[in-house]
Amino acid sequence: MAQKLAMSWKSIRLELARTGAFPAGSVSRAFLLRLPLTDTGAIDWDQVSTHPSRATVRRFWGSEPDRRGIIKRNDKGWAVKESLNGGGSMFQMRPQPIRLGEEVEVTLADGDSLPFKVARINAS
Amino acid sequence: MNSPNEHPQAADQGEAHLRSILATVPDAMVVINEAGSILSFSAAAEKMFGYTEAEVVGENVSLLMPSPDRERHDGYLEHYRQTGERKIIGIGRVTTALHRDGYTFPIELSIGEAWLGERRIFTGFIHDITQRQQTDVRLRDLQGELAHVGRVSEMGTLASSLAHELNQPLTAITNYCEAARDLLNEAATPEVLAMVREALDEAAQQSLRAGEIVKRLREFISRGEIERHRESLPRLITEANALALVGSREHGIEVQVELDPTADDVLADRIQIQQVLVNLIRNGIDAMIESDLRVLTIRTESKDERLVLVSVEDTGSGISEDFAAQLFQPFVTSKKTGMGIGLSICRTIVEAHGGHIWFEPHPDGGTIFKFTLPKPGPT
Repeated sequence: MAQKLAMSWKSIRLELARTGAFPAGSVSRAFLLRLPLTDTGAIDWDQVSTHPSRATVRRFWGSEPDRRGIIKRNDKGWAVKESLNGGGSMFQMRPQPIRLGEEVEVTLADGDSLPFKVARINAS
Repeated sequence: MNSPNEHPQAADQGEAHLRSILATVPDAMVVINEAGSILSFSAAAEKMFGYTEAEVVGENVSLLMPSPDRERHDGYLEHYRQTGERKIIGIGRVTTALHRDGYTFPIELSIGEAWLGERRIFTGFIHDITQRQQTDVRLRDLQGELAHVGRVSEMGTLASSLAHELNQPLTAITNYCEAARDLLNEAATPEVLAMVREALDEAAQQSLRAGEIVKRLREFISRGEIERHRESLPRLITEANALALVGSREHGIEVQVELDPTADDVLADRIQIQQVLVNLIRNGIDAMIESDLRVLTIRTESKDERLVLVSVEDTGSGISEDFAAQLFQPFVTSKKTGMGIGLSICRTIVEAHGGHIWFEPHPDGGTIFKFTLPKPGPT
């Protein structure tokens, strides 16, 4: 059982998809999420609540330093905070399936909503 | 004399030949312009990093680097453009690279510079040293450990003479203190008090002498004289990371480096502190092999105006109480291989630098090893 639970945790790479500023998208603007996913691409929030510090995000943005955050559920879906006990917000996502090759919409801290492609999903 | 028509054909053949050579070179090859934008990305680079050439052309090469190199690379290029000072071009360096999947791996990087007309380009040849150097590094480590054990054994033969050396000041301290105590049983006249003071001064001198003997002993154990210079702590960490990650790629270790910009410089013997870092990082990796979460975090922090704190944190299962008490003693290990003297060497080296080393359990499981190092004094 523990092994099955561990296997549902995934490393998910979101990369900036086509935008006005980046017509071909950008692989250097990416988020690496660690989340437990069901077979349909939904987040298993029961597991997140059991291991809250494991649901993490790393942000890669051009030549900027890495930023890290913790994923927390909220009334709009889920958000990434810079620490477990609050801290600045990194981005917000509304509930949407996370499936390889598809796009998801991410609302950044500055309010911009950008499309990101689900580029890779690996076992974490 | 060749006809003009033969030149374009010769040039095309030459280019095709060059391309075929470059396509088969096992090392990854990445060409960038002066601004750091990727111009070309070989097939070996695609395999090494997990990106296709089409995805990375036009992106900044810092994409392939973990922090702190990522955010510093533009500065390195600017520095080179302004000063021409070569720190890596034509010299080469062992460092770490970042895969698309988020894990870091050790590489050997060689960079060449060329001009295409008025345009300057840089070509990086990248060799993944994960596999090739695994045996070499392990052999060097074993040789180092054996040499250290040899010195410890030598210590055994020196122990009797050192015990004799220490016995003298210790006996003298005992005698002077007993004399002072006996004198204080008499009336506290000025003459008696003067004699007590003299006895205690002598005892203090003897204890200093004993301390010097112990200090010489510790310097001997720490492999001879330490040469301390001003060193860049981020550089020490990057190089130690590269060495420690050799052989670990299949474990998919995610390495996070969090640097305090006010803790950049330390006064250290570069080789010895790298040895401490390599040891702690390897221990952290070994602790996480069976874990489903494998994240190694290295942090630096300016503790105060004199000291820097370095911590190496793993997400393993932690250290049992049985081992905790003896962890820094030689020949204590929970591993199947190795002599178990790595942490004792770390303690000797750190303390020889005037620092301290200890560990704490992480609240979420895992272990954090911490050690302090001195900052350079004001120049």
